[in-house]
Amino acid sequence: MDLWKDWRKVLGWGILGAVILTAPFLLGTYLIFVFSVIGVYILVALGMNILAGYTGMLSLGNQAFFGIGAYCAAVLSTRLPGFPFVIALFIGGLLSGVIGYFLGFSALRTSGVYLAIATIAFGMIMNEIFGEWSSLTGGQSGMVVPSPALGSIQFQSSTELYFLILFVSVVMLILFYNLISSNTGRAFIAIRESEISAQSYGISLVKYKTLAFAISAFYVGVAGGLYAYLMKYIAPIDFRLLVGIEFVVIVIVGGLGSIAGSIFGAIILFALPQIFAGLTYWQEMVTGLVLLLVILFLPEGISGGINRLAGRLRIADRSKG
Amino acid sequence: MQLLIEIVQQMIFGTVMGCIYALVATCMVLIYKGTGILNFAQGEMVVFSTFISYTLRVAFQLPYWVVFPLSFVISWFFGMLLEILSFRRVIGKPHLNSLMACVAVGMILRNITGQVWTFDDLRMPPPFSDQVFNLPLGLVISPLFLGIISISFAIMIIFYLFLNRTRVGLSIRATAQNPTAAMLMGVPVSYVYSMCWAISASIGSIAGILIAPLLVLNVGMFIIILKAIVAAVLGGIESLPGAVLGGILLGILENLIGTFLPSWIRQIFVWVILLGVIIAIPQGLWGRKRQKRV
Amino acid sequence: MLKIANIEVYYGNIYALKGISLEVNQGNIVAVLGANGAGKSTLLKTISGLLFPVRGEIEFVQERINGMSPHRIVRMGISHVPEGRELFPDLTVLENLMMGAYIKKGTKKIVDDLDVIYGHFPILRERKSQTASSLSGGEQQMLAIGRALMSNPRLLLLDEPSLGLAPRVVEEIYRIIRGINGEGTTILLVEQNAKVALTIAHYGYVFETGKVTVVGRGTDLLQDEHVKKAYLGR
Repeated sequence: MDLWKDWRKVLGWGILGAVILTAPFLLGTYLIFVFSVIGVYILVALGMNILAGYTGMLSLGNQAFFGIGAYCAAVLSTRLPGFPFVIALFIGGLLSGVIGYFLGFSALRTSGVYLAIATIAFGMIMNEIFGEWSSLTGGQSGMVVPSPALGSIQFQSSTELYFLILFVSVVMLILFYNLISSNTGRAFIAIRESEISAQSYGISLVKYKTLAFAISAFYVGVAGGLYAYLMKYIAPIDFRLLVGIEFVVIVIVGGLGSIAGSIFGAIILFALPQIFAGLTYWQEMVTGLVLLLVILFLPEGISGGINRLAGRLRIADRSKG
Repeated sequence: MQLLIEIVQQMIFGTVMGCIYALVATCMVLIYKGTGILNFAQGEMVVFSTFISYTLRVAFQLPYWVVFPLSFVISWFFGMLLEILSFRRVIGKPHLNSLMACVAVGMILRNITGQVWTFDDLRMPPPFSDQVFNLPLGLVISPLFLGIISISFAIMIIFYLFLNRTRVGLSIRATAQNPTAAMLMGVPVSYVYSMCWAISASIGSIAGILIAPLLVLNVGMFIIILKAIVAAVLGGIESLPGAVLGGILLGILENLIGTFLPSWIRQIFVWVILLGVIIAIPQGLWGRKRQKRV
Repeated sequence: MLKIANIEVYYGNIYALKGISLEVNQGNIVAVLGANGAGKSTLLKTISGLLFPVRGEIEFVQERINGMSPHRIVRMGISHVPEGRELFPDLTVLENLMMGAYIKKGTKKIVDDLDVIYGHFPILRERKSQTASSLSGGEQQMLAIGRALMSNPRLLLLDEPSLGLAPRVVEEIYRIIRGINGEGTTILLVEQNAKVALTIAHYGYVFETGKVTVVGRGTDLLQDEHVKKAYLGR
């Protein structure tokens, strides 16, 4: 019985892996681009999940970290041609993480609604800075982003970018999985369930809340850097409040607190606009409707809904047998 | 001396804007106190009702003294409808749910408004003459300003009386403090919730009619809600008088800062204030300290 | 007046009442005793409509009330003073009392009722403009009972009226409760303090983990061996 299940699981992952690896050779440039975008947003979702899903803190300012990571990568690659992109991504992530850490500090005294508002304020401030620091960021009109490089090697084609993003995503995914299974991950979940109980278990709110903010910012920052390389052009409008809201939408629709959920959410949020590509005016409405329906009827998001469905199917199965 | 005049002028502008912030902030605080939901869709609700008012005034050529009450009533039902359709299911759930529900409704509403009317700018005829008069000392004022200030205050006074001197108002306050007890007193709590939304929508619609002529009527106007949030937090998010004072204070400060510092600093300033208040005085200037109950 | 037949009630996921039957006759004071968690509060919440039974029936003056919403049950004449009093903390004493009269129309009647309440609890008249949260524990309990009486209930449900109060205050409150009963209000009260409850109760029920274990007249229960050992500390 067990063998049968494992056999299927392994095959499933194998097929998935094969598909992911061969996709760029089978699909056109546009689709490769879409998949690359989804990859970036999966990373964002992972970061958002640490904050909202596992620790239970709502932040509507993560677009700021997205921007910090993006501008870091852009500036480093522009000013220092040939600068290894991996390091640029890492620096972007690190800078985001450090700022995130301090934001987390301020978050200690707030929660729930106030926290959300505070993060909005932070996002708005950073957005203004992106726009005003023209010498560094090119101001409101934004800046061009050179291709990611490793010394003299440049990654230009969409296929190359695809694999680059895939590589980074896989690494970050593995790190994420380790994090969640570790004591730190469990501490996050404890805090989400009940801050007071967590404290009575000796979990330092200060340490873990700030850590959650920092790690989440790191992920989003790295994603931002990838986004910059992918889009080849960034401007403050890419990091406005609506973007931050979309980030939260990804994890809600996908399902908080689950890796699969993050992936679902990223796919849905970015497949939708592509499907409605001809109807730009409807895009906001559709996103809003999807979000609303999920909140009202499927509060655990799609992965939660699937879990529930699977649970019911299992129970139905057993009652038959 | 010139500086002093400039300051007074900015305070006048600030008070005008502040009144609008105060009205919208009052709407948000009402919903927050009554139902525990922070209504992120308030801005879009205001814009939607303002477009309706625009149609009433421009397409149907109704005079403003008809448009005001008509808009009020239409928005009342509109608010109740929103509550029944979406927000009812979100009361008592974690903040994330209600916040995102509001955001979602806002997005949908914004889009509908743009589709039904337009995404472009519209010019809203002012309810009072927007002719500008010169006062002694070089100050500038207009009937529109005075109209905004007086109507805002009138609404806030009426609202205060409603809340504190009527039976219905008492039941709203009671439900806000203890819904279980209110149920045991025979209060149909879900009606109370609906009413909070209805009142909010109505007051918001008036605020919209007042502000739209001053700025431009556009789907993007909903951004005002962010300022209203700042005003509400500044005053203390559970305090209605706080919302009023916070709104006016914010309006004045914003304009004063804008006079002396470059505009981008003025933008940031509002957010810095918000962050500062949340971190240092979370209960707002007029609120009360909350204790965490175990 | 009140007939409860075999109700089973869940409090969240907990199976709190496992088949309770109970009767309250008009004009009586009935006490429900038992330890913490025995289901006493759940019983009152089910009667007043805050909870509903998954099985069983509740009849009030021959009408089926199980499943009715709280605000309809109040209008039928049942008033519930919950555990912890559940006052409106920032409203004044007077405003709390006015809320109690929410279902009544007619200012004259309400003013008369207020006088009756002030008659029972003179301290409330003194403090009528103070906020409820500023009152002492005993005063808050009086306000809670007074508020419940404002709707002229036929049946008054009291949840742990002695909780957290000094013995002197408890005595006074129970004296007043007896007086209220004397004026015609039927009372169903729930108490951990069995001794004081049984001094005024005509009948008593003992709950243990969701089931009724002893029933009897108040005076008999005071003599019952089991009750004496478990609840009267002798």
